[in-house]
Amino acid sequence: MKPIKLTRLDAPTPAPPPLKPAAPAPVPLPGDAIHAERIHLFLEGIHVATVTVAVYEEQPIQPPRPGYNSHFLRAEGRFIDTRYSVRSVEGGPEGAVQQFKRSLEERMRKGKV
Amino acid sequence: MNLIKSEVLAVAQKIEREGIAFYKALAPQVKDLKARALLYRLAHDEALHLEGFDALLKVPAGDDAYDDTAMLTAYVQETVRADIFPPPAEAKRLARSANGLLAAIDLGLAAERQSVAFYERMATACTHAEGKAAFGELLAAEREHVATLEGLRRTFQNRQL
Repeated sequence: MKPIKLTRLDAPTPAPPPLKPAAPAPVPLPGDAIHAERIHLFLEGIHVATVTVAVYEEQPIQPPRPGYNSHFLRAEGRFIDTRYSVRSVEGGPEGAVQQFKRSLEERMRKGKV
Repeated sequence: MNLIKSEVLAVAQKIEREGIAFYKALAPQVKDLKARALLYRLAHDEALHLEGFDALLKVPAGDDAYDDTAMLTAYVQETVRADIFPPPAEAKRLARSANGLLAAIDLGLAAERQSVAFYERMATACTHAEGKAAFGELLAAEREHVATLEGLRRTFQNRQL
């Protein structure tokens, strides 16, 4: 006689596949910014602040002057009660944001904030 | 804007502005970078509070926005005249002196406890739902600041032992 295969009715249902982590909400672009991002500032591994950085395209300097970059991006953000900005010529908008982050973290390290 | 509304806002702004100036003056004087990071974080937090006072501005003017307005007005008027955080120059001077950092942290702690007392009283007395919630959030944030400074104090005290 063929054995009867028993199925447990109270067997746990398999877990649904894990959901993909939700993409972060886009940061609204202020004014004529071409890119905006929220960054986390750290000092000695301690999270100090989350800051919104906006990147602006600067108009080329005309006529081009020696020693000046004729075209650059400007990353700007507010930390504590001051607005900081850095000029960037490479790495595109994301590069400008990273440069802003490095610059501000270095300022904190030196106690120049 | 009636008297109590404008003065409640004035005290809240004073707490946050004085806090920014105090922590911003103290942080660069502290050689320990982890402690400096925490002090910068406190300064940044106070700046965010200052920017987020929109909800407090929605509390309507008039005696029915707060319970026990007469007592509250006297308290608010007294608080607006008093210094809550010590001046930034005092923070710098203390941080540079021997054992002064602990004294500076103690001054910060006293100021944060005063802020907690103020927001606690406002959260209890405010009858306007949005205003009450805003005071409650500020109260929670200032309580966290007290905990941060207490932790910092323990760290430096243990190092001195």
